[in-house]
Amino acid sequence: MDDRNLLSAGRWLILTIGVLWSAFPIFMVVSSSFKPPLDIFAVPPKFIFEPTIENYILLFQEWPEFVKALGNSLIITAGATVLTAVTSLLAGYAYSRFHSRLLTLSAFFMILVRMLPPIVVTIPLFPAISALRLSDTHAILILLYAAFFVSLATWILKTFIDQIPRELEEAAEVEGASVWQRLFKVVLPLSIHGTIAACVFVVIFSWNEYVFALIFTSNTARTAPLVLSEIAGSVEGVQWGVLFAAATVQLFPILIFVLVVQKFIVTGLTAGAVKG
Amino acid sequence: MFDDRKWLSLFLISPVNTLLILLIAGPSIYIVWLSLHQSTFGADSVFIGFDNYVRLFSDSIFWRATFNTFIVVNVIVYAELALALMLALALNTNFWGKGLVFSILIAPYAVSQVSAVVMWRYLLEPDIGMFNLLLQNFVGAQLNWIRNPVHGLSLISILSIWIHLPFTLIILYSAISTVPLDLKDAARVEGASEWQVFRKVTMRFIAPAVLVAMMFRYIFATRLFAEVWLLNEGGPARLTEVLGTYLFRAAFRYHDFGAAAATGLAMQLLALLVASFYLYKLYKRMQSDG
Amino acid sequence: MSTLQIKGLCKSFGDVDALIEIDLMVRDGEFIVLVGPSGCGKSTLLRCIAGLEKHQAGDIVVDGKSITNVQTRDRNVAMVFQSYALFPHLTVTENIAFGLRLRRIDPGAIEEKVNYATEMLSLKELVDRYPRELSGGQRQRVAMGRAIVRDPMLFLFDEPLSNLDAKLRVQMRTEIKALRQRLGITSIYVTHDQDEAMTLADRIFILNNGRIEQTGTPMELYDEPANLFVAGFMGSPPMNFIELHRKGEGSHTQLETSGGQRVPLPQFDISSDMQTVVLGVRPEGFRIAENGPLRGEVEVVEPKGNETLVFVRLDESHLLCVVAGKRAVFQPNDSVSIAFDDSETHLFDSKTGLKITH
Repeated sequence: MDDRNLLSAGRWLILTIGVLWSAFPIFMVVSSSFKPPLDIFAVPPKFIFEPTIENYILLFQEWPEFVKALGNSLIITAGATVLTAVTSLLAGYAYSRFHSRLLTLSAFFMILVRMLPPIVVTIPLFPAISALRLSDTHAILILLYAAFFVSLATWILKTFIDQIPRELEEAAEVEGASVWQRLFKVVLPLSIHGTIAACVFVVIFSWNEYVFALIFTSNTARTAPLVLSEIAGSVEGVQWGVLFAAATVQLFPILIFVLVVQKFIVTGLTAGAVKG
Repeated sequence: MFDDRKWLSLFLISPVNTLLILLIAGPSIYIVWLSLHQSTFGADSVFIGFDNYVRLFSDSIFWRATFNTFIVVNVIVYAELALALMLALALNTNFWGKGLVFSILIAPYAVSQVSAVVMWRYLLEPDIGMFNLLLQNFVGAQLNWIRNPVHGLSLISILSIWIHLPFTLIILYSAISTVPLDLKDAARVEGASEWQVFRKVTMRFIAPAVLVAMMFRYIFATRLFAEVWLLNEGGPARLTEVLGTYLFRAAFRYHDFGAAAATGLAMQLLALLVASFYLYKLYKRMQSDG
Repeated sequence: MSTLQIKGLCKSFGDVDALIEIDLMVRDGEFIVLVGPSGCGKSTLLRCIAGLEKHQAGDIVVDGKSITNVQTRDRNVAMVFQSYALFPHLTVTENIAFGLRLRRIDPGAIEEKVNYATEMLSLKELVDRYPRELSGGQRQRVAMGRAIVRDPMLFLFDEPLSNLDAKLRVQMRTEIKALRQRLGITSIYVTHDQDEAMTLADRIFILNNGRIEQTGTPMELYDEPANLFVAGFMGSPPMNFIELHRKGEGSHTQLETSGGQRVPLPQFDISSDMQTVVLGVRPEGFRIAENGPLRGEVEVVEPKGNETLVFVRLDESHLLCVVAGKRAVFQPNDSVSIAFDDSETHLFDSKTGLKITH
């Protein structure tokens, strides 16, 4: 029994440290966003305080572009997600249902491309995107974010569609369905979960992405993380509260999202990483 | 649908492949050409052979960046693996509130690099950050990441581990939960201690997942950029630069696209080298699957 | 209501020939069962008829018109799959109406047809349920309903009962038979279960290794198997086969088992180039009697309730199954002798496997 007690004690110690490690930085920033400026760096730190929304008011007064940036982030995240979902569903279906040497090669190509570091492509893309007048547009970020996640999403959807029995499609075919009707009336409704699992990653990535946004946007399409980094860059004393308020606003929706879809993150990562 | 199967399948995969080719594969290959040219804004590219590489290899900051990347990546990957493995094992039982604990453990997955930098700066801002004050009290020294490059790289590592631990944890956790209970019980009946059960059963079962998680983390960690750039832009005196910031600075501060391309090619080759064994295995399996 | 004709159909998967020169003719309203061991090509043949597999040579003709180059979706056939292939995201009604809705038929007409089908199949109470909320037998009925409402030219069944448990299988078999008598649609039914084939079929086609071995009504196949394969396949428990060797010359010719037991078969005229023949007798054609020509020892006794199966060891390579009366009492190692009537015997050429006629 000694062994068991030791194991169980070790288990709780590890989990407690793990929970503190993960939660404490988030907790501190979120809670401090409701502190009056003088309490933010109080010694010892104040865990009980009179909450105030002063920092939030200041944020929207001093950084009106932050609201617009949140809107841009939303548009770009939605666009990249829809683009990823549609293209990956078509490709995932093809890789699951059809087999040929060309398809095998292209599936391999797809995974190989996933290994390439995103920052590298910015060098040749920068002049090309300027020439095409795509700089500082929503479209270019949508395209880039989707491009870096279609491989994972396609692979996840392929493994999901692999599990939809072919007989269902054959039954639909016998009943008179065309390939598109099979795709939209049979495969699509049955791969909703797969589509969600495939899309959660591009949602999280697009909402938080920094490098491409830094390089390819300057004004009209600037996203929330970029404005956040500007608020962080101009920090002088009391402005910490405003920064925490901005970080909390940027974090809140995506944190809720991650907690809601965590099952899909687990299945998606398992399908995408281990099986792929 | 018989004869047009081939065309149909090509049509279905074309949107994904267009995105990949235009935005990733094409530019990634173009890098090779670019790295052999002198290229900047407002001037025609001039072929200069391997001059970019010669310049790159004689730049001590490049070597510093490479060395930093090497150290930080290894620290990150192995620390994450060790932490994730411990947490995954600790989670591999049923207890009240497990769902909540798991949610909290993966919460950093939602945090942007910008916010993560804000959070850790708050805790470790010299002279006022809570953790630095604690360190001052108990150790007598602070983590001076602004002035001391070793401290700077340490904070960069901590940040990266914090953000990416959920990824490794999820992969290892789902691998561990597939280890059949029967197998572990059988080992216990045969007289194995818990440590032996872990080593001989659990580890054997999850070894492939550990390798895959490790490879993906190596590849993703080598891309390290935002954490460093947002924290201290590779300072002080470019001593905490990594390959990502070196490339960014060359391209977008000095507009030396040739040198940036050479760095980029080095990063690509590094990633493909790390991935080569996995890719080779995968290719074999895909071929046999038809 | 249609006729189906298949002419010289060949199908191969890579180097493997799945179907070789298949010819068959199905009359209007006929219920045909394709039966054979797994891998004999019966499902492939059905899938070729549905258009789900493309055959390399030959022609499939329905009502005098070739459908070889018609796509599956335009063939107007209905198919019941082994897994039922019900759409998990659709209710019973939506599953049954699936094909009709694809054809954009007037909703009123669809409702009428669905009502008719659910009524007939006693699914009225279940119309709003999803497949996962149904039992195996109910799913089976929904699959039938989906086929019925289409008024197809052909009904195709691909082992529709093999996922059901034994009791339900017998019940559904009866229902299918009742249904086919009511609807009278030309049907092709694939199964590996000879029992199912016997009970359902107007005519049976026995397939083996991609070829049709024999065609006929269930009783024709049972009574007059054309070769060893058919004889062994039809009937349960299967026919007993005893290898007999020719001994002696001319009028002294006798047939002996490898254990040296003489078997008198005066009704057969065995040509002199056959050194070995195979005698086939069904278990119910044997009886345990005194002074029968075959002697052996009881090895296993299996009481079935209505009858008792007695397995008798004749020699090293022959274990014979005998159907005995339901109260028959035998013990392992009892010595018994087995008798049979001449009318119950079948004789086959051991080289070609073909039946030797009287």
